[in-house]
Amino acid sequence: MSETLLEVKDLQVDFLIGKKTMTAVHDISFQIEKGRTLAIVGESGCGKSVTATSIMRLLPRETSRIANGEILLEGTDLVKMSEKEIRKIRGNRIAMIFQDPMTALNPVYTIGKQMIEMCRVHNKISKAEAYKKCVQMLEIVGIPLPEQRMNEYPYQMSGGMRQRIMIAMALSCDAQLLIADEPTTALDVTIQAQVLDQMRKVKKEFHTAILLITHDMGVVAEMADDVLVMYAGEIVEYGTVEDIFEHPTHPYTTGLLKSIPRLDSDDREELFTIDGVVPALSEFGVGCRFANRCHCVSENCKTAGIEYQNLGGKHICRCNLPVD
Amino acid sequence: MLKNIGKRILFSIVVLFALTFFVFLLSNMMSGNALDVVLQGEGTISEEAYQALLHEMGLDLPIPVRYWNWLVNFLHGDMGTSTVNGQPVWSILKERIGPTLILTGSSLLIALLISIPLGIMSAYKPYSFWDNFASALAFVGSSMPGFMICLFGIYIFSVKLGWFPTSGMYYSNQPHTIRALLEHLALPAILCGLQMTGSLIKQTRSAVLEVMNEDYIKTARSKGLSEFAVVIRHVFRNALIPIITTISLSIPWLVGGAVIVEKIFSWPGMGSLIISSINSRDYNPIMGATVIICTTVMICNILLDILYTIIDPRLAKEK
Repeated sequence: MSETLLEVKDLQVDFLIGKKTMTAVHDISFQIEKGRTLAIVGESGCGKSVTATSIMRLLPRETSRIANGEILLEGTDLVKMSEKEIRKIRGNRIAMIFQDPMTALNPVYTIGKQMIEMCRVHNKISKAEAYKKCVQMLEIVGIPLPEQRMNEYPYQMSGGMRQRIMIAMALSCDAQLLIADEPTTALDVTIQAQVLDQMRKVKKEFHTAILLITHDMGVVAEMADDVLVMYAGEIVEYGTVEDIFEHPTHPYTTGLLKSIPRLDSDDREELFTIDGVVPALSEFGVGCRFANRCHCVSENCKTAGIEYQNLGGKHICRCNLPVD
Repeated sequence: MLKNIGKRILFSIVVLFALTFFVFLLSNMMSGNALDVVLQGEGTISEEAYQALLHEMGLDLPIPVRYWNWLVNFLHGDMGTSTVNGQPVWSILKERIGPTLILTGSSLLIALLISIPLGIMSAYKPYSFWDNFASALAFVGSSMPGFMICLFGIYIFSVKLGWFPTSGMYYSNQPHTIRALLEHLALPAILCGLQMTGSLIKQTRSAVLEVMNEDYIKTARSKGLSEFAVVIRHVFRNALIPIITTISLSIPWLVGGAVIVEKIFSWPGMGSLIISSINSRDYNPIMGATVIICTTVMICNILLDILYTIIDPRLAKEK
């Protein structure tokens, strides 16, 4: 197995709502090896983005805090870093791209200015050198006429192009880890494929590890090496992409996989859905958080804490069910 | 872009002429006329002599004809003379423009220097000490009538504390130095500027708050920029458009407000000229001052329009 780049241990993030403290994600542990892609999947509000954002320490300081756990980047704990130290990590060693490329670039500055700005924060290089590097990055992500694009504004470009620019910018300081928070959700399908291609290409070229956040199982199957399934702020299943797709164990994971529409299925068949809704943050009890929607729930699921079962290799699952 | 500016200038000229007509109409509809004021204290004269003088001054003609005469002369570069002292209007105005520009310019500068940092700070840390302070200041600035703020200011800082002179632009018996000017300028400029801070602080705060939640601010942070760079380069730059709009809306107000402040502080500017001319029914200086003020406001607005397109490149392309 290759070297570990990022290791998250027992992460817990709390939000302060009024005077109450709510735990948004809890007991999250995973690791990303150099050059590999980990996908975090789960439905809206399950804490995927919170987890990713907390790695960058970009959660709003007034209303949230990392209550517990460690985030180790090659052994250094990011949680303990001062604001000044974490700034040297952001953009430089860990870079991030966001869901909506239409709003992720500053509308009043040219592409070139925004890219060069980032290069020069982290590297002591001249404007001309930074310019050269940025043009080169734009070429790598397949932007035609990169020199002309450098002088243009975001509003002059399409969504797919902007997302590729975000990728180029994110990788312009040779980041070791790229956090992609639903990078294709806001794009249309053909453009999605292009952007995913570019991500795969840069991953190969720069040996960048990717933390991919998505709710699209198709994207996971195409991109990920490892998969982390989250539900209501907790990990329910974690394993390699084969573990998850070939041997899904947790009832939530199996439910998710069953609810993907398939081209070869009988089209009169109704699409599978998981009944019920995610419980609110305030409704979490001691037991399994999926209990109210689980088709194979038993009495102790609701009363006792659920431990992870080790299913061999990386594969773990938070469920009481005996594994066959 | 150029076509747009051309259109704006053309439109402004039309507005300017419409405005001169209404001001002419209003000032001539006031009771009494210039002759009455000139004759005050001179004893009574016969009706015939009165009518003869009226004819000589051209005041016996109907208002539209008089306006037409004024307009024709104006377009020939002649703004007429003052009925009070016989001086050409242009030479009176020339002396008044400088002081007014100094006062309004420094008021605007003071208002910006107070409001923008306060607005940014109060948006950056809502409900903090600075936010509450800014709210209080905005409340006082926008709810107290201007003349009252001025009178309080004079009472506290000039009469009680004796820090600043109460009126004028220079000490009458001393050479005209910059220092003397600044001492006289401080109080009226601060008080006039303070009245503008209310809306400016609030506008800055809400504009900055809105931009702070934008995705590209998160991007800017994720690039590893310092908070200062994020706030100034990314947040403030994008918040500028509504702030500039507020400034452009308050420029006419500033000029109007300066009329009162100038009168209270006996500042030798256009404001006090207008008031004294109205009192003596001296029509030509009123018209001259109106044209100057109106033109200044229009030029400012056109300049701000151009500034918009520099700040936000999207606006330049849209039209």
